[in-house]
Amino acid sequence: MKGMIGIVVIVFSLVVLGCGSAGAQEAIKIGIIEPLTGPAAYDGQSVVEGARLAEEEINARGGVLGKQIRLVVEDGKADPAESVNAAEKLLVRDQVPVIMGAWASSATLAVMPVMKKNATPLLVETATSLKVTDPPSEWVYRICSNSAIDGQLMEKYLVPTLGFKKAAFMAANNDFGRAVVTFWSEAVKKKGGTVVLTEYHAPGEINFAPSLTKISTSGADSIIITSDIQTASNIIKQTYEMGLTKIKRLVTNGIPSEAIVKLAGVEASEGVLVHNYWVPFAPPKGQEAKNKQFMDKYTAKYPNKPVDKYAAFGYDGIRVIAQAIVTARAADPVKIKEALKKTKVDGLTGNIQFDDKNQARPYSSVSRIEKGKPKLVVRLN
Amino acid sequence: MILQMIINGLLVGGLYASIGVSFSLVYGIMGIINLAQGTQIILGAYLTCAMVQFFHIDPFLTLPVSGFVLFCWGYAIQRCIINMVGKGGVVLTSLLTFGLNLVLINIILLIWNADFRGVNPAYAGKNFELFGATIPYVRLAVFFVAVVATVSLHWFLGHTQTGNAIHASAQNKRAAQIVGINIRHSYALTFAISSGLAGAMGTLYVILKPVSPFSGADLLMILFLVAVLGGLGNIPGALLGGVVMGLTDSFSVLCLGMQYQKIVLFLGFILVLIFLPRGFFGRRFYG
Repeated sequence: MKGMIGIVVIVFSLVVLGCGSAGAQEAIKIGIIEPLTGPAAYDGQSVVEGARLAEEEINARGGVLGKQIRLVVEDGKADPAESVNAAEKLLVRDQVPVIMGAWASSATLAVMPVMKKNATPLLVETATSLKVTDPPSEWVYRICSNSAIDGQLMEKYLVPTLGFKKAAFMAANNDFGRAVVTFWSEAVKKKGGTVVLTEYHAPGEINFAPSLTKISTSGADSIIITSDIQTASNIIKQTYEMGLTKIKRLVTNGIPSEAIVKLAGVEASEGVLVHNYWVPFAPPKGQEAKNKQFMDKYTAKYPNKPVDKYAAFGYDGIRVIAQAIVTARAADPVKIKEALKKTKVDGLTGNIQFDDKNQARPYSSVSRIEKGKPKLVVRLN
Repeated sequence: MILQMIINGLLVGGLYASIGVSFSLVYGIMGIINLAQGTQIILGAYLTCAMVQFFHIDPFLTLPVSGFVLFCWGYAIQRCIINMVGKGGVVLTSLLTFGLNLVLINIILLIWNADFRGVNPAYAGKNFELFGATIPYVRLAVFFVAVVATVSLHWFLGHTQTGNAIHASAQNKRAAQIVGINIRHSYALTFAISSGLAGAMGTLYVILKPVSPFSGADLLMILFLVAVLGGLGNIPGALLGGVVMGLTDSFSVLCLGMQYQKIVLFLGFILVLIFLPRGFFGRRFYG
């Protein structure tokens, strides 16, 4: 009797599974690897939510190649091992022809060889490590920026416009922080400025008073801060406690001004310069209407969440992929890879087209926090 | 600059010390390594954030409340859960507190989500000069409150009947029971005091620095270092350990740079373990 039940269950599940995959074949699948749990979950969710908006929009217009698109989302936890598992699952089980991910640089770098082995393209939406596109891999395309590009763009403004003549760095002691220090230092030095001090900290570090004391006696006229939201805000807060507000402070890499104001306080963040990628208040020129539309839709769908750059990159990422599938005229990994090369999308995050290293140059800007509100200072491109 | 560095070290050392004491107390009395202690501090921090947000009061005023809530939580947890495996040895209790830590993190996540929280009193930027060194009022207040809490805890354990009962249960369980001490109660009380202190320190911690539900991990490292430096279970030792750690923080940055801070700290830690394996004060609390 028990055996019978077992057989029935197996047969039944085979039928159900079979139906499942047969039904799914009608839609074109796009794999997504994002941190949905763990410390980076909030940002990872934003990417997915932005991507879902793009999915809805595209499907409402009739999809691509006459088929609907369907996002298959896997949790990579911003962890290299978990992200590799997620990639294997998407490639083997779901047989997706293209993947967007994997949020963190370390996770993305771990996933890249898997993509190469399976000959499937990866669109990188938020990871900024230079190594993702240098040396370039034919299977990896990136729509977000990297530190080399940022340094290049800042060169024109950092010393001449913003007056960072004697800069001090406070950077996270990881690949990301060190890359920013390397390329932004060049930007300072090329225009006749000097870097007087560089202090690396462990992310999550509590006490910056010693470092700030050193900076205040080093004669620095500016501090460039590169870290995660929490640590950067903590540094801002402590500069204020120590009375160092006369020194110019700049936070790099798109940390939202709202978060800094919330965590460090309105008084402490007065005058802080912020280096932005996509921001709600200053879209690239010509994108104002689309930007508003995107933000309205997002707020309607996720009422309790402020729109952030992660959502914008998620949204643009799926649009780029959809465009590439249209150009490729097939949901085939190799054809999509070739098509991505020629894809151009006027996105919210800038004019997306890939150079010979498969790297796009997203729009960026610098703003200043005044009375708790960010004000645009300069558009970098 | 050297004076500034010493002051920096002392001010943050006070908080480190208090955090260390809360951890070392439970180990000294009951032999339990409470891996949830870091997150208990974070829970206190979140309570402070919530109270400041709803009632718009000064964060320092929320300290008794977060302390009391965590005190009750600690009492209940020890009485209902940890006591059950109290005899199971250090591995079992560590596993249990490890699990509790995960539960706590996820409770915080459920209520407040993964967002960072912080509080910023209006006077955060006020400071005064002393012989050319800048002293922020906020840090001074945090230092002061932390030291007062630690010292009064020390006094309480040494000079009150309840304190003596706690001592007694640590020194000789049997004898304590014979003279009519309710061991379960005094264990639960110890745990509650430790959690309560953690909650109060959470208030101070979040005044200094924004927190996320996962920030407990950063704290756990400090807890261990301070407690072991001072000798596990030794309150004056932990006080000294905290200050030494604060000063090491400062001077490693001054002499080498911030990226070497952890190296110096842990090298020092290894040396202490080799040459003073029982911490600065050379003896374990009890037993």
